[in-house]
Parts: sequence; structure tokens; C-alpha cells
Amino acid sequence: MIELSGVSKVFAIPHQKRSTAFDRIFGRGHYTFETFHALRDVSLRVQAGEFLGIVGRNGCGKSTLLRIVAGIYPPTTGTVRVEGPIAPILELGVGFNGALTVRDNVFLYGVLLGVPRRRLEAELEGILERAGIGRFEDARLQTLSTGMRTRLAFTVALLADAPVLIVDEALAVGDEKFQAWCVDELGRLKREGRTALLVSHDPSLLGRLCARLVLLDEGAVREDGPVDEVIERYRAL
Amino acid sequence: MRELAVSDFRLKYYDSALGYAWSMLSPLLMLAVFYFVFRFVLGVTTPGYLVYLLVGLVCWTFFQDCSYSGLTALSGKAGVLKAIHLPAGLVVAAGALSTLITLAINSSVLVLALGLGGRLSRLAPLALLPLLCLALFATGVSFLVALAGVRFRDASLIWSVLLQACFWLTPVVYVANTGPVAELLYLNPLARCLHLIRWFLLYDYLPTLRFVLLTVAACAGTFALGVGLFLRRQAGIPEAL
Repeated sequence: MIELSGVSKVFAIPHQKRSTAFDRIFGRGHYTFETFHALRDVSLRVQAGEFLGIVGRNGCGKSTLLRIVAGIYPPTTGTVRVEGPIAPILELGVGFNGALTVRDNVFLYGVLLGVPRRRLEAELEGILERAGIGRFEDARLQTLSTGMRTRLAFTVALLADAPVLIVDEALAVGDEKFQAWCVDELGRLKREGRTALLVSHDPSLLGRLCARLVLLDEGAVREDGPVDEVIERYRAL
Repeated sequence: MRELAVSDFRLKYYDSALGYAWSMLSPLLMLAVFYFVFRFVLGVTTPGYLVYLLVGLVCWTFFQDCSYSGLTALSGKAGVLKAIHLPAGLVVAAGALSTLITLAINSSVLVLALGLGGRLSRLAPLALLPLLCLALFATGVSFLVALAGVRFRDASLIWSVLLQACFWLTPVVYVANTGPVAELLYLNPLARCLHLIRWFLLYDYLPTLRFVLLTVAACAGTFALGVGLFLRRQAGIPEAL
């Protein structure tokens, strides 16, 4: 279960990007910044076992919201409560390092996502097979195509046993077949009873996984309800 | 964290022709230069100066790498920190640990070489304590530098200057055992560690307990300060990157 009540997030944007120590010491009085309300008083409740989709235009606060739920950013005000460990799939393959072998990367990324090393060792072959790159175990990651890398990352990310998933635009990449496969896999996790927050610009994709959508606009919840209604509002925005 | 540290360590030497040998070569190259300058240009005649210098440079190289890793660790892993809920301190600690692995290997080789050359003192095992102090101190500094690096863009410039100053305020390449100058240098925990390491490793000299305890306290204090401050500000780091 995920519960947010009255969550706001304010970023201070300095006029001059990150000051130097010199500025800090000698120019204290001139240090100016603008505040940017990325989120305004957001309250949300995602039941255990529910897949909730979030839509909204660029810069409406979707990513900030996910990061706050994932515990990466602290909220400025309000509280966040998440039951159980979270597997954030905010960006597929962060932590991947092109110079290391595929196998090393599986371990590195898997451990970052909280998958026990032993489990990764046991399932290494299966992971590579599902990602369709069994032959490349010892190849350097940078020699793989972008599609292969994404597939690999998603396969590893799916191993994360966490009951709560947070997926940000992870489905935006890859060809149709890959997307269909991702949706299938996520559908399987849904049947297993996991909870998820999904963000996508592709409403039809969300429609296949979620029963309920939330529309964010300028950091506030504009609409919260069944898929069709929310998509209509989103298109009209 | 283990995974992070090991991959850091591996990446450093990936693709380099000499691999790990680099981390031994760099102190050795510095050794050659400093030995030449101090022995033949400045005419230092201290007996056993070569070994003295070698121990100093191995320790100094570690301190330099470890403290610098604090600056690079966070910015290098900014993408990860923004996407995965991972305590920022873990990333800094992994960076420090990776340099610690280098220190462990280098000092083992050093001790082995000293042993073979018959230069090892009977007190050598005691040198582990000041080595540990050195590691604590360097890690503490690494955390402090990491925090500064998040706040200020020019932290790396400032730190490279401070590091230079620190190098010359520590008896790495010169000898300062007695007199008021040595007393003054004792204010620097790094100098204390180096003295202890050399005394135990090379000179069979047992310092006063007070000296040892003060060193331990200074290093542990720096470690606690660095880690403590970092932990207090850790939550805001991902968005500041």
C-alpha cells in the first residue's frame, strides 16, 4: 500500500546554477533563487494489489512524485507511507557500466535493486536467456545494442522481489515486441498481487495494466478515476 | 556496497595496459623523483632515507586517492542516486573502500619487500594500528570533502590546493622528528600516523602511550565528524546533485 497525504515539494532554483564557494562567502546578500512548486498538496492512496497509472504533460511533477514515493527525495511537507520494500524502476539500467561484462553488470544492477547476490548467481542463466542475450555473458556491455541492454535491465529489475514497484517511463523504449513483452511481465506481477505506480505518456499502455489513473497538472492532482475518463481529460488538456 | 566497491576498483584498472601495477608504479615513480631531488639536489644524508620515503609515499598516495574519491564518487553516481533509493553515504564509503583495497595490497607488498631486505623492525605488526588510524582519518576526510563537493562546484579546485598544502605539512618526503617544528606538525593527524607507521615498521621505536592515544583519538574523531555530518545531510543529496 502507498499512501501520500498533503505532499508538497518545493525546489529552490538558484539563478546561477550551483554557487561557488567564493560566491557563498562574499556574495551572500546577492544569492537569489526562485522557488518552484513541483508538487502541491498531493494526496493519494494506492491499495495493496492495485496498479495505479499516472499521466500528465512534461514537467507536471510525475518524476518528482515517484522519487518522493521511492524515498529518493524528502518531501517538503506532508507524509509518505509505503508498506513493504520498494523496487524503483525509475530508469532502466542505471548503474550499468559499459566497460564491465554483461555478467558483472547483472550483479551490479541486481544488487542495487536489492536482489540478493545468491539469487542472481542461481538465476544468471535464466536471466540472460529471457533477455535473449545468452551468448554474450562475457561480452562487455557497451558492445550490446541499446535494445539488448534495456531488455537485460528490465529482466533484472523484474527479479526484485519487492511488493511495491515504481516504474517511470521504462516502457517508453524498445520496439513493439519489447513493449508487449514488458506489459505481459507486468501483468504477471499484477496477478501475483503486487502494488505498482506506473508513469507513461502512452495512455493505451496504461489502460492495459491499470484500472485507475491519476492526472497530474502543474504539480496537483487534477483528476483521479477510471482510465477512460482520465484519458479524456488528459487529451483535452 | 561490496559490489560497488569491487566494481569501482575493477573499473579503475580496466583497459589499462599495466592494470593494477599502475597503483604501485605511481608511488615508485614519485619515489625516484623525490629521492633524486632530496638526496642529490638538497643533499639529505639521513640513513635509510629511501625506505623512509617509500613508506611515506605509499601512505600519502592512499590519503590522496581516498580523499579525492569523496569528490568523484557522488557526481559519478549521480544517475544512480537519482533513480534508486540508496543512502548517499554508501556510495562514498564504497569509493573509499576501493582505495582501501589498493592500500592493503600496496602495504602488503611493501612489508614483504622490507622483510626480504631485512629492514623490518620487530615492532612491525604494531604498524597495523596507525594504518587503521590512517584509513579512518582518510575516510572521514573523504566524507567531508564529498559534502563540500555537493555544496560547492569549485570544491575540487579548493581541495587540490589544500591537498598540496597538506602534502608539505606532513613529513612525507622530508624528515622532521625533533624540535619545535616536529611538535607543530604533530597537530596534523596525518603526520602522527606517518610517524607511528615508520617508528613501528622501520625504527623499532616505541613512542609514549599518550602519543598513540592522541593519534587514535584524532583520527577516530575526524572519522566520526565526517560520517556524522554526512549522515545528517544525506537526505538532501540526490536532489542537490
